[in-house]
Amino acid sequence: MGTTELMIEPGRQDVVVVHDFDAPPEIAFRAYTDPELMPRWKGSDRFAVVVDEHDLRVGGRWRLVMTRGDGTEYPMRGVFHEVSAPHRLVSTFEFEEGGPGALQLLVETFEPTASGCRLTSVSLFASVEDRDRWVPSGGLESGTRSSMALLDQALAS
Amino acid sequence: MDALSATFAALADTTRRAILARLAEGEATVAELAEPFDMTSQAVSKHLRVLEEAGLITRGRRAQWRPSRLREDALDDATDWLEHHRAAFRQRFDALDREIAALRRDEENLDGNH
Repeated sequence: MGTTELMIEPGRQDVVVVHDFDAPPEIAFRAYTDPELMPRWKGSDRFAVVVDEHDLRVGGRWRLVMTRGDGTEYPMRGVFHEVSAPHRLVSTFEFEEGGPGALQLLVETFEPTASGCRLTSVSLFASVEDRDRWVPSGGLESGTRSSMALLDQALAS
Repeated sequence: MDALSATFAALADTTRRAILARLAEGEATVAELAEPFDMTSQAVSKHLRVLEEAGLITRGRRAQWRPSRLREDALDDATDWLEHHRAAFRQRFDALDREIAALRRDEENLDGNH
């Protein structure tokens, strides 16, 4: 199983996720962008995922809905800006009206490694404030290794 | 702003993190905090207000001194939140890894049938 790193550094306006796949970029990219697979891995115990639209080409739209156990729906959507399989994917992300958080630009790159490939996913917000507001708001699309460093640093004696 | 947002916003500033680090060593007055940072007492007071509103510190009520103290459980909510989301993310990628492994097995089987 590959490793996953989540980084939210203080004072920056991005959230970075790094995952090492045990598969070459061609396979990892295809699986990562396959709408039929998404409900099987993007969901969790708490959220079911339905893909509404996934038009994987420049200018194509995507939309998916996450539904919590109590029935609350979180629809999110965006547009693909660059689709360079199997190396790079650039898209926008936002929750639909009423959802938490601001618009994000997602830049995802797949680089070959000795054992497969490394996905680096950068979510860029318009400002540090936007990102910090979003981070604790329930970050459906992201997790965080918000600098444990940040907390460690704060408490270091 | 909800409590967690206030905590993260308060932590997003280097000076405030340095103040927290200092308070982790023990309580201190505004004057004591101002000294190493080369800041006015007013500026330090502003930061302390933010930290207090975020629930990260408590301040004494003695008018003149009002020593600030780090709340022991101050960061519990923030670390819990981070831990939760880190785990959720790992889980998701682990699931994707399993899907990829299954895909590759299927493809090998197909190739084997040729």
